[in-house]
Amino acid sequence: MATLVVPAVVKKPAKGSTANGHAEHGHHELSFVQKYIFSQDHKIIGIQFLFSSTFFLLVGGTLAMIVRLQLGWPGHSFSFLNILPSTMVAGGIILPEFYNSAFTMHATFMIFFAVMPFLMGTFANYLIPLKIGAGDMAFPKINMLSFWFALTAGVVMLSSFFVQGGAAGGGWTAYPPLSDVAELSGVMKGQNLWLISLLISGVSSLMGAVNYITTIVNMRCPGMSFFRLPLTIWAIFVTAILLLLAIPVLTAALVLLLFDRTIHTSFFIPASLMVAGQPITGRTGGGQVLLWQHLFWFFGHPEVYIMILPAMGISSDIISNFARKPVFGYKAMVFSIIGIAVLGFFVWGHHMFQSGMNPLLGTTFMISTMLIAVPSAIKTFNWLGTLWGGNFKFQTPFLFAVGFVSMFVIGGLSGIFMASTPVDIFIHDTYFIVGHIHYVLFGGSVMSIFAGIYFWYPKMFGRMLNETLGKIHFWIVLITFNGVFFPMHILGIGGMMRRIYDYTQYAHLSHFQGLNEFMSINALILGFSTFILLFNMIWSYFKGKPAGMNPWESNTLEWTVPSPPGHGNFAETPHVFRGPYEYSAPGRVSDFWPQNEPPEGWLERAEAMKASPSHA
Amino acid sequence: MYKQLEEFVFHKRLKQPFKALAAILTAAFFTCLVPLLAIAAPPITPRYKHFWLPDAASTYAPKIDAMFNMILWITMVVFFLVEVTMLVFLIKYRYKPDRRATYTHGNNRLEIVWTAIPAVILVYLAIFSNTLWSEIRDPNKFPKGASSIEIRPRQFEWDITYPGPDGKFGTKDDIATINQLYLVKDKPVQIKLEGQDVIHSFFVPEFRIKQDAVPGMPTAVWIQPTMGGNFEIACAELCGLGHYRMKGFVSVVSQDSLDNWLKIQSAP
Amino acid sequence: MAASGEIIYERPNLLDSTHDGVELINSNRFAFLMMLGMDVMLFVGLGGGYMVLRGGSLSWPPPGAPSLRPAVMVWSCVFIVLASVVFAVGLKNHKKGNARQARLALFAGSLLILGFLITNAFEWSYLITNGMDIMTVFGGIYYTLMGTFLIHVVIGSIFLFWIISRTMRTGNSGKSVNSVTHVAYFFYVLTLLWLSIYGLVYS
Ligand code: HEA
Ligand code: HEA
Ligand code: CUA
Ligand SMILES: [Cu+2]
Repeated sequence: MATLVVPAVVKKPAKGSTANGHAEHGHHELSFVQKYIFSQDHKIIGIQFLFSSTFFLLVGGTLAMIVRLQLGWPGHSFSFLNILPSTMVAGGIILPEFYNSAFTMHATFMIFFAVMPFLMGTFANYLIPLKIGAGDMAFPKINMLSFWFALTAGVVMLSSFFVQGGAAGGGWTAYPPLSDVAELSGVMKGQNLWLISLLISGVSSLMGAVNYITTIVNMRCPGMSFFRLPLTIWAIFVTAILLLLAIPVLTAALVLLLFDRTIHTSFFIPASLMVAGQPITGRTGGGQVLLWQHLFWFFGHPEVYIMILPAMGISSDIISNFARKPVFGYKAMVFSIIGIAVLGFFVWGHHMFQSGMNPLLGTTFMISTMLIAVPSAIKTFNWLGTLWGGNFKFQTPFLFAVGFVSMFVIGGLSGIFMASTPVDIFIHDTYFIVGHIHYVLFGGSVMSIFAGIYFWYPKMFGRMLNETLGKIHFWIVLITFNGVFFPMHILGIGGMMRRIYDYTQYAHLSHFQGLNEFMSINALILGFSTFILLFNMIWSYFKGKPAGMNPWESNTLEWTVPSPPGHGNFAETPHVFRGPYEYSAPGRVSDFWPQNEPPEGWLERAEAMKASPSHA
Repeated sequence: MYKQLEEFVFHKRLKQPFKALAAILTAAFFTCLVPLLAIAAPPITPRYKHFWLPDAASTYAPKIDAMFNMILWITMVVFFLVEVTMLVFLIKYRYKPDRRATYTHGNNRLEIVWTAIPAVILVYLAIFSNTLWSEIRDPNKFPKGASSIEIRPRQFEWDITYPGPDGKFGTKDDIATINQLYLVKDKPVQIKLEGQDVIHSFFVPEFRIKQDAVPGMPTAVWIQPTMGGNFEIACAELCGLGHYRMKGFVSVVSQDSLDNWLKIQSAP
Repeated sequence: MAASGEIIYERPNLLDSTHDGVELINSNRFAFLMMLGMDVMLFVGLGGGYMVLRGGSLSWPPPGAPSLRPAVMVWSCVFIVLASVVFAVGLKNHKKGNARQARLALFAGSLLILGFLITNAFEWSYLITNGMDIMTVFGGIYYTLMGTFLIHVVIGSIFLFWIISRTMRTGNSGKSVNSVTHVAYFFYVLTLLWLSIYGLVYS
């Protein structure tokens, strides 16, 4: 058992709140711009990320709707699409080149500008200092820059729709030579802007990551040892390390491809490449096509775990909170987060089983890929263990968190099919993969993000979100989500390739039109259901029930301060006495036990110790 | 059932592991049964109307399907285990004002169990997969005496070359066609793939074959068709505007008809 | 860390359950170390690229391209290793408070770095005049990898001059201990990277 060390009662503002000197300035008022736009307060930056990610979620979602319109009704003329320029839509019919841009940009926006910033921008920023008992981030200025870089990157990405040749259309994986030689894809500046935008967003992520790691290592309040950190913070911590290690490799790849496109190097252009039946001009050739895939996936696979680990952390917190019981196997959870992160660097080749890579390498990557399912299994069973013997009210955050678990399991299990090399021969690049992607990324990450929004909105804005609307939103999402994405497995098993504009071209696929139509209708409802959330967020801001300090009767430190917390977060440095999940502890009347509630007799002993000369 | 499970876990009753073992053995038994079923199952629906795996028309297609089915069964069992347990918990432990949640921080024995069992299953899957994988992809295990064909896809067509009577590529008697591949039933054939402009991917669903055709990096695959008839070649790697319509055809014919066709083609 | 008059804690065990809220490591130092880690990963990416491109080529250097001059570039290794050593000496003196010796060492180190840059400039001008083309893979990856490295060295030098001029003005302030340490660490890492790159490219 840990011995109780009597710490000092430190009567000073939480660390960090003085870091940028506001405290010294006393009652000096910040201008509006300083306070809400170029703010260095982690809470404001978190909310800025919330807005920008929501916006880009809508952009990505709208593009998904375009994809679904085409797939549900291939070749159908939608007159309302005529508002789009003629390079995208002709006579209401979506053009193949625009279709390619649509799913490419859909994935790009969703991954880099919605899910990542939601998890590693909004929640990381908002929650780290509050949950570890700090006044702000270690580097508030870098934090601010991180947001503005992210936003710039998003704007650059958006602008690529409006340049000649349209936005990037080589898939979010941008395999060269297609993404390399403009003549081969018809995309000109769009692809360059895509590369530049990702370079900028990489810088933003790196700045964020350095900040998060430093803050978590250095600014935990007294008593907040690593093994008393909430799992959300653990997950963000490990994810930030993943970002540090993975993003620079992406940067290297992006720079090489950008050089290929702009100064005509040949890193990804093999000898004697043909363009429209003629040998390529203006390039010397001699490069390696697979190099990009290795570099991209060395980043890309850790990247997918970057998008799931924080989501897992958030759901763990929420499930424990609503089950009113401690997380089952806390340390096992922590070690499996670390295990996933470490193994995540050794599995990238599973995206390249059919790429012509040496089959022996395929075997190695298959084994590591199979192994990485083990820590995920540990997490899944521990979630079940947390549910076991709980006592839960079905409130919206809990619904989404449980939805996360059940959907993530489906996505994870479909990953096992693809991990098996021979099976992947058949299902690689089919809709089976697309099904997997969306079960882990929507059913996993986005569900968890929704859970997080319902859970922390009261802290962010001081008002509860409407429960009824929340429940409606949840059920629509759960049903239509499965309606869109479960049939994708069937399509994949039937052999339907991904990234195709018109599958009715193929005899073995044309009978899937009805199924696709069903999926598209579900997708449209799923898309519109987001407006329920948006409406709820806006309406509750004005009309919601006041949240109070701790509406969910939670243990962690963010719930010990007013909603929304003031500048500097904590009036005085909190002190932590126990882990974050002490719910329903025996011998207590209340079923929660805030981390900072002093144990009985502690204050007296502290006073006594302070008075005793031996400690002076 | 969960009552017993709870007892097993928290009261350390030793008889229960046998029940768990029995359950696992049953699952394993079914797992072994499935591949047999899959191979034995006759095609029920006409070609192209499947909402499941397409016809299996090559030597390794049924083996891949068996592997697929095996994983399907394992994952189905896991899926139902997880989701049913969850549902049961959700119903059983829903809010009751007079009850308090169980205060527990976990159980190491259980942690070990649910780490070890998936690990064993996954290693087993990896070993099985690898046997089949090397059978299909290991260059040393390619079938001997296979004839050769070269396919060099480009935007957006399949350029197919037969070596002609001399059996060599790059000679005058090569026979080149576009988008129409002829194979002989029950004869292995080795296909050399190389993209001309961008990456394409040679995909024939019925043969369960898919291999990227990478520019500058030739790759080889083999097929031995077991079913006559016409199939489609699909391009499975995004290759630009016309990716969706980059379709070819395979006809599996008799040796005589192929020879005949080749003769006609090579006639000047 | 704790203000005077309060109870002083012992440095806690990293995973101990009685964390006392002190910083485990100076935040700026820590962030700087992470930045070095990121740099290493950047070069891992580029170096990996180099290996794949080289491994995939039939002849390296390709016919017609000038061959690199390991004998000349050995000097660059010598320069940068010496610079690291000198920086280590400087850092030690700086920490002891021997401002003069420290400044001298930093200055000597920057001359060595200059030597490094000049060696590289020689090599580059030789390669360029002998027709090494950035559009070829051989030239492209060379210029990209080396160029990225040289940019790092140049940034390090600017950092260095800024510190030298600051210590000239202010003597040994507590703050500049940190920045002298950082610049020294930066060049240590660059030295290690350079030796690996040299081994990769010039062997
Ligand atoms: C959040 C994102 C995320 C996550 C978490 C995962 C998780 C996993 N992924 Fe996925 N993956 C993607 C996002 C993600 N993936 C994306 C975006 C792509 C496509 C990229 C593109 O090409 O565009 C992709 C593609 C992809 C491929 C390449 C397919 C191809 O192109 O041919 C493979 C192949 O192995 C794979 C495997 C796995 C595995 C084994 C896991 C495992 O981590 C899953 C582990 C979880 C479980 C297994 C469930 C819980 C466990 C149990 C209940 C225990 C019992 C289980 C057993 C005993 C089996 N993924
Ligand atoms: C985080 C990641 C993420 C998320 C959240 C989503 C969400 C969705 N995706 Fe996405 N998708 C990817 C990541 C993601 N996707 C990736 C990586 C690919 C691979 C790309 C590639 O091949 O390169 C892909 C590819 C992909 C395809 C395959 C394209 C192809 O291969 O040809 C399809 C097809 O149906 C699709 C559909 C959808 C739908 C319907 C949603 C829905 O869940 C979206 C729901 C929308 C919202 C939640 C936002 C709110 C929406 C609105 C406000 C719009 C309302 C407007 C109208 C109704 C008109 N996606
Ligand atoms: Cu060729 Cu897709
Ligand atoms: Cu992966």
